[in-house]
Amino acid sequence: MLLSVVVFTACWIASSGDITAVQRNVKEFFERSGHTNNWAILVCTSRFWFNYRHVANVLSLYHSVKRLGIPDSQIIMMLADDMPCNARNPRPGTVFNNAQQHINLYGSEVEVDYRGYEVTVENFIRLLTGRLPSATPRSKRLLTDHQSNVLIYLTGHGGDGFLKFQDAEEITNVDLADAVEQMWEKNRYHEMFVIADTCQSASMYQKLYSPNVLATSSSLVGEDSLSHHVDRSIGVYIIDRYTYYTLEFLERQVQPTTNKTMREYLDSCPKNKCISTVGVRDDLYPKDTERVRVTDFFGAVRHVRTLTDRVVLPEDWITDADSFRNEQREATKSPSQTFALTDVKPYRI
Amino acid sequence: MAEETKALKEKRPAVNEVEVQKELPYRMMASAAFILVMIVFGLPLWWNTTKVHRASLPHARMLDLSSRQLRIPVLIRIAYPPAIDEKWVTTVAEVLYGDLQDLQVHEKLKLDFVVDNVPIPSAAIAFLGSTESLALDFVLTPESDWGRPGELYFGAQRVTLVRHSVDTEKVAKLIQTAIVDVVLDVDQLKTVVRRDLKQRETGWELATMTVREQQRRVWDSAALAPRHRVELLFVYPDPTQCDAQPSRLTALLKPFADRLAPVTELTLQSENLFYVDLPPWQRRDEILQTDVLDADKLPLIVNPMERYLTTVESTAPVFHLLVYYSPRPLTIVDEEGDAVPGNAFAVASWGGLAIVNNCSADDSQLAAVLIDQLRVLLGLGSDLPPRSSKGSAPLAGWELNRLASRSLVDSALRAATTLRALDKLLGEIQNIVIGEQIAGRIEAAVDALEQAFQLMKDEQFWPAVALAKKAAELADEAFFDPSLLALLYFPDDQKYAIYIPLFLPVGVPVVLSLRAVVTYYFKRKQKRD
Repeated sequence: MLLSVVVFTACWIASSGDITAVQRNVKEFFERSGHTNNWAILVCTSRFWFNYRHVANVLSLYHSVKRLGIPDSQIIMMLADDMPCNARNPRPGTVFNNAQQHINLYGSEVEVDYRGYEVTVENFIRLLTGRLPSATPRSKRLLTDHQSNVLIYLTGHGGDGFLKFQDAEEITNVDLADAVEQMWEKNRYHEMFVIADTCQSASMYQKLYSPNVLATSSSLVGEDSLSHHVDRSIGVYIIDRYTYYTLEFLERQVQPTTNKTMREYLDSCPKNKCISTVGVRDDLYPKDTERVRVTDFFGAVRHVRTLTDRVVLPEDWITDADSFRNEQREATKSPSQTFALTDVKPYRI
Repeated sequence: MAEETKALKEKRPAVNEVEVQKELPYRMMASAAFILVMIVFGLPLWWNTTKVHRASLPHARMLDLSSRQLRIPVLIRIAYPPAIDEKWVTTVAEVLYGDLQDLQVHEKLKLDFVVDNVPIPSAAIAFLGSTESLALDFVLTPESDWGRPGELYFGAQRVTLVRHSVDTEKVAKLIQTAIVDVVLDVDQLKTVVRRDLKQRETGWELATMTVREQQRRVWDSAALAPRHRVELLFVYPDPTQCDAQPSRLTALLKPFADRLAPVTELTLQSENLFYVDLPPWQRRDEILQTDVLDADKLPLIVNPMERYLTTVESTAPVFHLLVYYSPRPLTIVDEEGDAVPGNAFAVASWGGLAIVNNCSADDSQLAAVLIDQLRVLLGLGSDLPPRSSKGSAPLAGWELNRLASRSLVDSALRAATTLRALDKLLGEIQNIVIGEQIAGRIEAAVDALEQAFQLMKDEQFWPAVALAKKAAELADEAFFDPSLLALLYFPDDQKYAIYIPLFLPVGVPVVLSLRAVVTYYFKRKQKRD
């Protein structure tokens, strides 16, 4: 079926005389994505030492998306508890997601944007809807536009229709759906992928109603999601099954330039591994997941272009620049001004 | 003892009965007073302290704005020197006008063209008076004065030169192509409208797009914010060989920012990064005899450099322009192995990188490269039709015109859709607080947008651009106001859960006394009857 569509497309384009398009279309199996930037929101909502695995889930995914190309400035990580500094951590300053302990997930260059008691339902909703106080730093803002693909990963303890935050409050699936709709109303995403790894997590995406959203969950309503294994030296479960197997797929098979599909990601934790059933909601998503790259959400595209115009500055700009600079010098009264080591010179031009 | 108590007990009701009967009217009056106090003071107090403050909003005007069609008058001025016959020009103008009438942009956007002929003393003086309306200027140039290849020349100012020939149809067609594809870029306007109305391209439309259209979808459709930050980062991998020099760069970029100011405000900040190097992806090219950086590696350079960038205290979009002072010659080469122009590249929604070899750069040349990068990032590049050429100005008048028209369409539609979304949100969620400040902003946005529509009608293009921009900003501020979340998610069952413990202890005695008063009243009435 798919092949016939491709062939038909090819013929149709050929009849319009665009030969390069034919070659490209046959060659290019994947749907084109119109995004120019990627954002990730990774949320762990649980406190307390026995929820170590939720922090490990988020940190593991953080490393994956960073490796695949999303920069720290476009990853918003919320960690409800500080496991590395927990008094019960036998190896302070570390978080592991595997009993072999080969990678310290809390090594260098981990940027947590919302931590501890900052992880609240209100802050999460504010982050999504953009309704943050004006003094909020850039790193705590979701500055997406119509060209952004957004990945939202939620982990913690959930029930039918809600996800618990901090043992004190909960976000309902209605809240999540409404917040996403507010983003859509304001044209703040191109496509969105929502992952919920909690018990009964399929309920988190049930109420979504905004277009171009793909969602998946670690378990269906009425099912529990299970953790993977215990590290005896740490004494607690250290990762959840769903995240363990999907990460295994991301880490082993996905590189920034590979052509693995979203379908393969969604299939990466079959029932015999996850024990729970992975739920998928794709009725809001117009594309075929078999024809969408994993890196459309987990990686970052960088559209690069060389310059084509050859601009030449007019003479008067150069003479104006000299006089402008002289004025600046006079104003700052330092005739031999040079740059200092950490020289930051903001001024309006 | 026991008997005494018993007797007392039997006696007491008899005594009390009389007293109770005597006291009853007073007790009933006390109850009534209690009820009265509760109703007169209690209820209004409760109502006033718990009601949601909702300032009134101009609903009808908000909805009206979002249903309006944008109509932008476009004035086309065709200037001609005495060497060209006036009648001939009139025919061209008529043909052109007829062709442009058939131009369909979008149901939400209509361009009202007016074609005007202006005689000028000589083709050399190709400068028409300035105007507040959106004017597209063309100068017909006789063959004898045409000293360049092709038939169209897009100048440094607003003017486009058109080569004169005998065939009126052909010249009209030339001008039409120039308007539709370059000077106004109707396709891009359509893209902007569709983006703001959230009418996404279908998979089928995407699949049939040409490479060029694909590229433009990425590069030229970057939303124009009212302000941008430009971070100029000078990277010195080895300051012992290449140290920071005082430079005129910011001063050289200033005129560019000044010219762009009616559309977007650029704020420039510069920073030196010492001992920071590019990731080691350079290789030695034997043909060019230098170190080269391959085009396919360029997307990978951006992320490792991200960690050195400082954050900025602004929510405006940021362009990071990296200037790499290479101690040894380094060249960026494309897929064919040729050096790329300017030794620089741009990265969509991020910024760009320019390489300066041997530690020394001519300021003005480097500034030109940086401006080139900004032009790409702001969607100022053009795809010229065949047999045409363009000047090398950093920002030509017609380019600014085009950017401003995109900005006008974008801001007006964005403001309108934001107002509609706000209206919907506030209408759907009844318990959301609407403060006076938000109502004021909404009101101001509605006023500004209505005024912008009026100015558009009056052919006041540039004032309309400014007002539409202001309207979009105000609408955004209202939409993203932090207070719009305060009571956003407060379902009714939770409300009752809070009020019942407060209300029941007071409410139950009131209801009981009310019952007592009513029964007393009816009994007395019965007795009297």
